[in-house]
Amino acid sequence: MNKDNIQSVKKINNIMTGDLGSYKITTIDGMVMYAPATDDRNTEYKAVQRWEAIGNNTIAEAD
Amino acid sequence: MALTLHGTVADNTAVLSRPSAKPLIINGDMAVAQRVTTTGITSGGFYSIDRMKVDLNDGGTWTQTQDADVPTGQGFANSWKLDCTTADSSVAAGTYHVARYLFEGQDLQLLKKGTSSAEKVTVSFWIKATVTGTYIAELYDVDNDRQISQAYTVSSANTWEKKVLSFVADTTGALGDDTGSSFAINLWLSAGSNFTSGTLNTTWAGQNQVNRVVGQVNSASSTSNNVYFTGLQMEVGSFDANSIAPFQHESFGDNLSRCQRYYQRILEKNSAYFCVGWNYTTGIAIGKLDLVVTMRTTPTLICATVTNGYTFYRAGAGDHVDSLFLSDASETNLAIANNSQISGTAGHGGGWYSSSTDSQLDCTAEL
Repeated sequence: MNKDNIQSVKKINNIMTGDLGSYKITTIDGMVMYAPATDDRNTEYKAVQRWEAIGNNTIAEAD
Repeated sequence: MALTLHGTVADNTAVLSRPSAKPLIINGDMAVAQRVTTTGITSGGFYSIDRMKVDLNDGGTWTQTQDADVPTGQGFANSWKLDCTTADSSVAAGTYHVARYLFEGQDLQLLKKGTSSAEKVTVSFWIKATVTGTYIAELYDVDNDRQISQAYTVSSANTWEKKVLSFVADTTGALGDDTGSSFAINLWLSAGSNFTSGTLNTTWAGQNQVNRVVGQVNSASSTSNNVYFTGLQMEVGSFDANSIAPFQHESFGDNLSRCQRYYQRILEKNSAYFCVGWNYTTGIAIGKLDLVVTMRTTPTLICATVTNGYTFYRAGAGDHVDSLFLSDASETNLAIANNSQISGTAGHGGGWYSSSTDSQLDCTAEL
C-alpha cells in the first residue's frame, strides 16, 4: 500500500469518544480498509499522510 | 538437556554457529499463505505467501499462488509461484518487478551494521524460472539508503536451482533498533534502464539507481513465464554452497504465529462467531477483538463489504450488516463497529458472527 493505491479517504470517529478513530481508505481496485488514526509506523497510515501531502482531501465523517 | 552431536564436528559447525535460535527469515519455506491466491497483480503489495512482498511497476500482470512444485528431496512442501498472465516484452525505463523480504531493524541488530564489527551476510534460496540468464539479488539498507548487488545465473529453464550468495559487511549506516522497515532482500525479476544503465554495484554504497540491477533479464517477456521461490534463508557470516547451514524448518504453528505479527486473518470460516460485542446504543453495536499475537504496529483492518455478511446476535435476534468499521485499535486488540444497520437495546450483550463465505476480516501491520 502506498499513496498511489488510494482512491479516497474518509475520517471515521471513535464510537465511544467521538475523536478520530480511523481512516477509511478505498483503494483504486475497490478494497476497503481502515487505517489507525495515529500510528506513524503503520504502512497505510503513512500512505494517507503522503496522499494528503500531495493535495488530496480526506472527507470528514458526517455528524 | 544434553546436546548430542551427530557426525563429525565439522558437520555440525555451521548449524551451531548460527547467532539466532530461529530463522532470521520468517516463512522462508513458503508454508503460510493466509491470503491464498491473488490474480491480476499490476502493482506492489503482499498477495499470497506471508511475509513475501513484490514491488511492481509496468512489469506485466501476474498471479501469485502458493504452489506444491518444490525441489526434490529438500524437505519443502510449498513454493511461492509468480505466474505472468499479461506479458510486457518492451521494458520501459521505469519498469521494476522485485520479490522482496523486509526486516524490522530491531531484528537485525545482530548484524552490527554500521560498526567496525559489522557481519557478512549470506542469502540462499531455491529458484525455478522460465527465463534463463542473469538475475540480480540485492541487499538494501532502507534506513540509510545504501545497497549492494550481486548477479547470479538461472542456468536451466523451469528447473529448480539453489543459489547461495555471500555479501560483504557494511561498516557504514546503523539499522534503527525499532519496528520500522530497515533492511530488505530484493530478488529482481525485471528492471528498466533507470536501474540498469550503469555498472553493477557489488560493494556497499549509497544508492545510485542506475547501478542496482545491471544485466537483469525480463521475467515478463511472455505469458508462458513463471518464477518459483522457496527455501529463502539468510545467515550471518560468509558461506558457499558447501558450507551454508541447512534450512531451519519450523513447525507450521510457530511459523504462522511469527507471520501473524504482520498479518492476521480474523475470519477463518463461514458460520462462526469471531468476537463478542454489545449494543452501545440502540443503533450502534461494537465488537472487541483480541488479536492472537501482538502485531508490529496498530493494524489496519480490511473488511469485505458483503450483503448481510456479518450478523450481530443478541437477545434472541440478530442484525445482519454488510460491513464493519474500525472504531479504535492497538497492537493487541480492536474495537469494530456498525452504526447503520443495527437495532436492539442499549446494554445488551451479543456476538458477532460470520454469515457468508465471502465475509472477510483481516488485520495487517506489514512493513
